[in-house]
Amino acid sequence: MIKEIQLLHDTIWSSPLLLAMFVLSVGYLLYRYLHHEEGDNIRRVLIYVALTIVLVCMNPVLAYLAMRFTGDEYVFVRFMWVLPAFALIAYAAMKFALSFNGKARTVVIAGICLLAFLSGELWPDVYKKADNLYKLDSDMIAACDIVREDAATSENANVYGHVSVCLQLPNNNIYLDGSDANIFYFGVRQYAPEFELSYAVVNEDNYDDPEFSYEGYLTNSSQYAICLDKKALDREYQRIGYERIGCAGPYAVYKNHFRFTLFVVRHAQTNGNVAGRVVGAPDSNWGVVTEEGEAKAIELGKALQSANIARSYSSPAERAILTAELVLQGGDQDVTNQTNEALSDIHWGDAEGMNWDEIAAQYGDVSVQAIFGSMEAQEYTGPIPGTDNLFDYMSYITSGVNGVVTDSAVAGLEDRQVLLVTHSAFHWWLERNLPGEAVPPGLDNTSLTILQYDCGQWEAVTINNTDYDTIPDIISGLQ
Amino acid sequence: MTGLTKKWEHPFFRFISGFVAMLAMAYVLYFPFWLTGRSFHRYYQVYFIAVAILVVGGLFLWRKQWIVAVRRDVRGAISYVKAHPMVILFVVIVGWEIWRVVTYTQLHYSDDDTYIPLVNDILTSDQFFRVNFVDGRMLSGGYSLDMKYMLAGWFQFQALLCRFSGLHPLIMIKTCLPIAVILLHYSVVWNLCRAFSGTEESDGLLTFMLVYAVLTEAAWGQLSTSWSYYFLTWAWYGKAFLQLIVLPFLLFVLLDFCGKKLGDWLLIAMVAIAGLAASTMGFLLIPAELGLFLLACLVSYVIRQRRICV
Repeated sequence: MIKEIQLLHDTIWSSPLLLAMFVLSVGYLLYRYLHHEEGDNIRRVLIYVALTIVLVCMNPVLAYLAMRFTGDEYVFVRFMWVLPAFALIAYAAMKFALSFNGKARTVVIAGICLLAFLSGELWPDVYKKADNLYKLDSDMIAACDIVREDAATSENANVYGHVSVCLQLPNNNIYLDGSDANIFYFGVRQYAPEFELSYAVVNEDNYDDPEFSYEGYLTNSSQYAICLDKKALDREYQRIGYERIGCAGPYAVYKNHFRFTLFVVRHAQTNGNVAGRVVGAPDSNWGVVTEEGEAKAIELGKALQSANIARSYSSPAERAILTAELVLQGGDQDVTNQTNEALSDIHWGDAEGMNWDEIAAQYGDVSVQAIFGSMEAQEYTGPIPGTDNLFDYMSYITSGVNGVVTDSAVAGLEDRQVLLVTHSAFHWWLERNLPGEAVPPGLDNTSLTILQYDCGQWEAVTINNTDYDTIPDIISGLQ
Repeated sequence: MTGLTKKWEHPFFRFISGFVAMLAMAYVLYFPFWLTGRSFHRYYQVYFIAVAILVVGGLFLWRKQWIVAVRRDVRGAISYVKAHPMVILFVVIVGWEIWRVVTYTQLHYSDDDTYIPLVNDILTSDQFFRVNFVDGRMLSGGYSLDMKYMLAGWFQFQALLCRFSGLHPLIMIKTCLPIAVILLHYSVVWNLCRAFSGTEESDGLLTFMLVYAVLTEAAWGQLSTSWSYYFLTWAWYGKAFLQLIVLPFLLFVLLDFCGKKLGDWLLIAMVAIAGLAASTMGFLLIPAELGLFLLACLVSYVIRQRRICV
């Protein structure tokens, strides 16, 4: 509790002089009251101050409880705000000064003001000259305005009027007050609320490195990118499908020009699907594709025969790999499938292979959301041990899809078509990236979802389509 | 002191109570709109219709009193300056503070990372707290922001001011609002000094304001809980409004409280609601101040063995 009292003193009183002025002021007013020189209000104020100090501000028990239950030591210290300390000091000073006349009063007032002046700092070291009334870096504002103007003319906004912008930062300390990353990221966030922000981290050492490559640093995932105007960054942004549309001071602004079509297929029917059992990332007997599933995959491949698939990606799960191969084989596509760990299914942890009755018996009547949480719940832990939370799943699946897009852009697959075989959980990615679209709460086996990537923005042509007869017409209608 | 009627005559009281009433009203209206999932623009319309009715109605009903009061205030201010030329010193200090607010900014953002985007997102999404303030994406269906943001009324009030003025939130919040907060703060402590002395005499008020202004300017605590910190750094925070305006104003109202008039009770309720609206810290500090003052009155009563009402 001594620690709490120490904290209280250190954080509230800027100097012992201020504390002394306060104590003297209270003492002086008490003296005046006892000599009938003050009215009832000062009596009540002095009692209020005494009670506030004893019962609240310097109460170690309350300090302990407040810090324990709020987890924030400053919550308790803020109770000090109910104490009118400055007003009492100023009032006592006024009364003291009024007891003098003429020049003596002026000297006393000047002396008190000097004491007040000496009790802290006149110009705290927390300010800097503002560039403008927005109180933000003018170059950063200009860079944002370049994006705004272009987005307005090209009508690039999504259904919410938002455009996606990727900021290049020197590190990922966006929550560290005063860091370059914090100032830039949240500066843009404060100025341009219609930007959906993401960020890419490129270390300063790489800015002028002729060997610097986008891999592991930059992805083609947003409509616009704002980065420092550096040679290496300029080269790599252009390499992954962006074009430079302007610059403002130290910043360069890029616009995504890459377009392609993504065929998203959920893996074929498995034993687990037939038995109603949940199957996630790890391969097991429940993940073995059934004969019906294989036939459906080949049928889908035939429906996609008119497509010109340039590449194929799948999760490393055997059911996904097999499905991809069967689809490519059915459509006579001369393409080799590539696997990517980031495209894996969500983990069901200890519930892998269970059916819903078994899950309910062991973990209670839990919903899918209760098991995996929400996309934004970073620290969520569900009732089933070993499961991914949805935040983590979204992180890796997003990285996987961004990798597919970036690889395709670098490979020059402009206006080409790419196959992606994934899992039912991919519907969450669809929900997030297709605002306004009706996405089912899970994809059907060997269903086809056709997405067009239009310069950083996803548009759905068809979602969860299992009517293969319609697919050739849809493909012929693709731009 | 005789309650609300008398308070009404105090310098600046109408401006302080008007601003506080706007915040309290915004807060009371916010809850039904938020809980029923209504849009921000509907809230804005209803709020400003209500404000317009009250303002126009008030001006119509008390137009003569208003004119008299405004004339008296202007004449009073001019005669006060003539009688106390040293008031210029105080004006210079306040002018200095306002100049700094307008032309300077803070070295880093701190909670601006959260607070400004919350206001921005209300305006651009036309919904209450359905946007992730970190990345600007719409939140997924099953996720809500921290309840403390939704329980406070400050962001919605700032959004109302921005929509009404047409200014970008950054300009309204980081430049215009701090000027209002600084002026309102000195208006509140001016009244608080009168309440301390319990008289209407203005002798010494200038000394009080000068010492107070120097203390505010110079007695700067290093951390965000000191008395000057929010005034000097983040005057647009709800916490700043709570600390600088609501809490001292509540003390002023309580010191003048008589309890015989409905208006006094309504005034206390309004200030308390504004305190809750300004920051969730208000949920702790407003009851604390009210409870401590009530206890102080009881102790005072025991000491003097007479009624609380003076």
